[in-house]
This record gives sequence, C-alpha cells and structure tokens, in this order.
Amino acid sequence: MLLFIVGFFYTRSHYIDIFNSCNIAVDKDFLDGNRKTIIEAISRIKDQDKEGYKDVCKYVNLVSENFCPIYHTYGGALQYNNQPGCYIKGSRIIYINPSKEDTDDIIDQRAEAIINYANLSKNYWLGSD
Amino acid sequence: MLVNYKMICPKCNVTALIIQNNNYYCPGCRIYIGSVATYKPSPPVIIDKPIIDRGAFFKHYINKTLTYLVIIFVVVFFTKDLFYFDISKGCYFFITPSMNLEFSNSGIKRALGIIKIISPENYQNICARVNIINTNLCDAGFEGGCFYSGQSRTIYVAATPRKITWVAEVLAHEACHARQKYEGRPGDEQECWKVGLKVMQDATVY
Repeated sequence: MLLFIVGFFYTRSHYIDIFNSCNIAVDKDFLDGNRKTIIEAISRIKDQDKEGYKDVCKYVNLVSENFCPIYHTYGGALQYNNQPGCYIKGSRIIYINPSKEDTDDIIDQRAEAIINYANLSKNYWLGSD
Repeated sequence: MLVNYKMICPKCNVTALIIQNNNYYCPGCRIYIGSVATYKPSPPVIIDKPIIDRGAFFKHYINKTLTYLVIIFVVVFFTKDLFYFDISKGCYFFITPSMNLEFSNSGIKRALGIIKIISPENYQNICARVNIINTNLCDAGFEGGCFYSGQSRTIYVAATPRKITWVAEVLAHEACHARQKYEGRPGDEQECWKVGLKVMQDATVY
C-alpha cells in the first residue's frame, strides 16, 4: 500500500521511459505552471528527434518551471532573462519559464527549449564549454 | 479428599485424579476410574522434543531485519540533508533543519555542488569560514541571508531550494561577510554583493 502511494506520487512528478532508461524529475510552478505540457514536450522530442531525446535523457535530471535570474539589484530585487529558460551550469538542471497554457504551440516551444538546454548541459559535461 | 497429582484421567488426559471412597475419581469427567487397590493408571508420557519450525524462524528473522531496515531508512532519510561532507576539500557543514515551510536542505547541498564547480575560490572560502548553515529565517526575511559577527562560523540562508542559483548567490554572499570578519575588516555589502552576483551569473547559461 505504501509502495503504491509512493509510486503514485513519483510517477506524477517524473517523466519515466523505462525502455530508454529515461527518468527526469519535472518540478512545476505551483501557482503558474503546467507539468503536463513539459511531459508532453519530452514525449514530442522522443517522437521527432531520437538523438536529441537521448541527450535529454542523459544530460538532464530535472526540468524545473522557474524564471532564470540573471541580475539582482543591490537591494536583492531579481531581474530575469528574456529567454524561454536556462541551464544551471555544473548540474543537470534546466529551468523553463512557467506557463499555464496548454496548447500545441507552448508544447513545441518547451520541446525546443529543453533540447537547447540539454545541449548546453551536454557541452558542459563533455568539456566543450 | 486427597488429590493424586501423579495420576491423570486416562479419558480426558487433563484432570488430576482424586481419591474418593477408595476409588479414583475424575472431577472433570465426573466419573470413577476404578478402585485404588486394583486400578493402576499409567502416568502420562510426555515426550519433550525441540520444536523445529523453519518457516516461523525465517518469518521472525525477516520481520526483524525488515524492521531494522525501515528504522535505518527513516533515520537516514530524515538526517542525510543535515550534513554535508566533502573530505577532499576539507568541507564539513551542519545544515540546520528549516522551520519555514521548506523542510528540505537538499537545495543547499545542490547549490554547494554548483559553487564547487563554477567558483572554486568561493567554495574554498565557504569551507574555510563556515561550519553551520542555518536555513531558518533571519533579519533579511524570506529569500534572504544573514551573517552575524557574534556567530562567526554560522551563516543564515533562507532561500527556497527551487531557486538554486539564488541559493548559491546567498551562500557566497554570506561567506564573503564571514571572510571580512576573519580578516578583521568591517562588513562591506558592496564587495559581497558583487561576489554573490558573479556566482549567480556564472551559474546561469542561456
């Protein structure tokens, strides 16, 4: 029973593809986010870009809906970039800007962003960054 | 009435026979067994042999092992994020449990790992000047950090683990104040603001 409950919550917060050894945590923004479109974006990458999908599975372990701070004022107020997200150097974490939208466009945008940032992660871990 | 404890009723095999009117009588079955003069019931034979029940033994053994494993798992689960060890760099931190709705110190550990990679000199400074990272609120409020000169090896970092680069910024910033104190200099916000900002910007790639 306990295993069932843990398994239920684990599968709801992760993208899991056992056959391709792919396990990516998906952290949604509680107020303004949509986990479903991130999971659909990863599934779309799997269907459309096999090589890209392999990189995503290997070099990303967390996709988090978050804005990327690039500057903060002396008082601590954060300023964010105008990109769809960012890669956190030295980790396998990528941030995607939060969005509640549930359209094909947003899924495509997210898929593209995930592939781009997975590439940055790959470059870092392969030492070409 | 005389109870003969050596004689057990041959019918029920439970009750001790008593002698009544020169006869053996079973109070349990309420019958006379026979005359004391002629009846010689044999005492019950009890064969005492060891109980060999392998199923029960393994069940007991497995239950005990599982109980210990569950206890160990729970203890490790709730304490693993209280400590950070990096023996190769001589880094040892105690990270206090957070009482402000975070309930996880994993963000601090993750941020330390990122600082170690992108800014080794700041990581070394944190290791050298800090032993306790307090994740509870301080005067800077939510998402802030503090260094109090009276607690020279403690920094306060109350940032949410979801904003990992911000956690790294606050760690580097407060450790910078710890270094200023160690070097006998007055607290210079401008200097530490630049240190924290650089860490945050270096950690973000887009």
